[in-house]
Amino acid sequence: MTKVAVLGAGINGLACAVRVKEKYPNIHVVIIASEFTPNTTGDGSGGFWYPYLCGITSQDLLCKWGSETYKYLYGLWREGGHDLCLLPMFELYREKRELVTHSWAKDVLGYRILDEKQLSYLSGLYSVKYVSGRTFTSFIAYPPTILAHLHRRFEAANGQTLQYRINSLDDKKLDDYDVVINCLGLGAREVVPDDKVVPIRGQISRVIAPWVTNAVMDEDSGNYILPNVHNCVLGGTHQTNDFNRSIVGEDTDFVLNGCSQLIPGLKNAELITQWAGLRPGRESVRLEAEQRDGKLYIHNYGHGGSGLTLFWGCAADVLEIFDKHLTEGRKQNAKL
Amino acid sequence: MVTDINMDNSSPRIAVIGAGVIGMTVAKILQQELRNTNITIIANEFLEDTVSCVAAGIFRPGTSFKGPTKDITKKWINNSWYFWQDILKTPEAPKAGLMSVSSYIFSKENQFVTRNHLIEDLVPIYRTVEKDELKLCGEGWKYGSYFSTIKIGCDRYLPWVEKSFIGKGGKIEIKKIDSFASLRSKFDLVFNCTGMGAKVLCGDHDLVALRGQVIKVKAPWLKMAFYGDYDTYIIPGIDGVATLGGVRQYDSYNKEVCKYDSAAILERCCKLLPVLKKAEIVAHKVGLRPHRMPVRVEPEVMDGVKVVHCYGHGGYGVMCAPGTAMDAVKIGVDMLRSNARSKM
Repeated sequence: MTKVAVLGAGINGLACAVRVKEKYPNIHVVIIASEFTPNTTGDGSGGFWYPYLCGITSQDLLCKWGSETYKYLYGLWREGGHDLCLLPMFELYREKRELVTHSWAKDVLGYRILDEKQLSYLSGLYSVKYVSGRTFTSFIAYPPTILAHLHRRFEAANGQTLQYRINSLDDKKLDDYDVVINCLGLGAREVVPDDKVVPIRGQISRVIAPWVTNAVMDEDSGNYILPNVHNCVLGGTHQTNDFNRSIVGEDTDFVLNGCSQLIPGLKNAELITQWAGLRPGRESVRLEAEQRDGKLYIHNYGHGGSGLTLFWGCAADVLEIFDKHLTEGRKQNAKL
Repeated sequence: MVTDINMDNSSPRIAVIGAGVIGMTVAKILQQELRNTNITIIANEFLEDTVSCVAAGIFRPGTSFKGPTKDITKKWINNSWYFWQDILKTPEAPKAGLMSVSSYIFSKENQFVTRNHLIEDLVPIYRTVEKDELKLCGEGWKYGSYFSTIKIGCDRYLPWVEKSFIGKGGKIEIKKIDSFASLRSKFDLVFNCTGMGAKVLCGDHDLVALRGQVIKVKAPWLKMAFYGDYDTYIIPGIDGVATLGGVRQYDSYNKEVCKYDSAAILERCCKLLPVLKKAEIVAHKVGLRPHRMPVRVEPEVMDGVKVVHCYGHGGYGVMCAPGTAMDAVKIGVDMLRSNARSKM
């Protein structure tokens, strides 16, 4: 009987574990991870659907994975009770840029390149001269809720979890498993090892501002404002190769002052917490099968700032690889 | 633009009757426009007791909203928009109850009802929806528009204006005014912002109550407004409390919550966004919109008192308070100037 280990209990690990276990109830699936929600990288993130900081991952893949995830979030929003917000996003530039239409534009709602009138209004509203930008209707999740939801689904399907820190892919703990789905995120750097995985540090502040109704990304300043059901995330930084999980005063100033300049009402908003997380950056997402020492490894890591944006689509591809593996296995058994 | 009205340096005694959004905004603009002010707001209903606080306060006029001329109507709307935008970009915005809000408006009947010639050119985005957007609220919606606008929550705006008003020396009197004659010796100018109260106070039979009922629910996940064939709307609130509506009952003076209206509103709103079925209800509210065609902004001498009327805004009082108040203040200043001239 096939035994599957999923490494990592973040958004990607949980999504893969759920998809595999729900499709194959009789297969033993265990999530092995050192951290579980609410302590994963995704838990602290802004929860915004938006392909961001995923290097040179191909547009086709971003479109495929992103649109499947967008559809999934849309379904959760319609169902209600999953702490999802539907709202317009504005991606704004202070420097002139030739804006291309993204490959995933047709898969999201209301995607538009902003015209003069809209840019003029937003410039006035945020007191910044914006010269180009985009808008579309997107989702902002409250990641701990999504993660808890996936965790519950996995347990309801009789999935198992094990808290343990894997130190390499040859770890003794993996001896019993024939398939290892590697969703270690930043952990892949040490465990695989894969030095292409680098932390992209992001620091954010969370404030109480339920009156913020748009997601705003000021691409040239680096500030962004992402309101969710419970609070409003102000960002941010993207410091490559920075492992610092502590709060840096300079970054706090940048986040709070920068965002308050855009939306002055935020000046007096109550600050509830700050957080610095390490996005698992990589030149591109690694999603592929690897046969190694008689085991199938399905790698699914390096999603950068797009975990919440790509997870469900990536998990679908992981499942497809797993399906093929089982089919081939059956063919082989039939031959014997 | 700050004005001196009197030649003799004493401030004219000004009364503003009514403490809803119209009265408060008139008082605010008076303090902005005049150098020395002696203003008293006189009302017997404040804050939660006003119709203004029942309203969601979204900046979207009904297409039948009417001033004396098309130009004046447009001017009121435009001036109101810029007034709100000026506050929106300051740190005061959330305290003043202001927020941006984008909206989807769907219809099963026709595209026309989702359009709005009064604001299409004014707001930054007003466009037809795409086919996939029609499915946001389930099957059956055939037409729709998407637009971005703003919302003014009077539960915050009114106290915010009041604080500033009193800080600048304004006075408030809790009293019900039954006649203008009672004000004759005390005030040089009176602004009549009594809304529905003008029906009795002025004997204005053109003023008709347009009864509205809403349900306030907790919906912190709602960041956009949704309309379904216009009568049905779901509008987010500044503190995560959304307004579900509504009804438009012409000539109904029933101030009591009607449980059948509640049930109908809830059902219609849940058809639009089924997730509302799980939402916690905070309150049911009724408001009698002071409807008049046209909205009355004009001077009149009543019982020897110089009065500027500013009432009859129907369902668009919150959004258009500033535009109409600016005109009312101008009219009032002119009345006082003519008074000053005649003294010379």
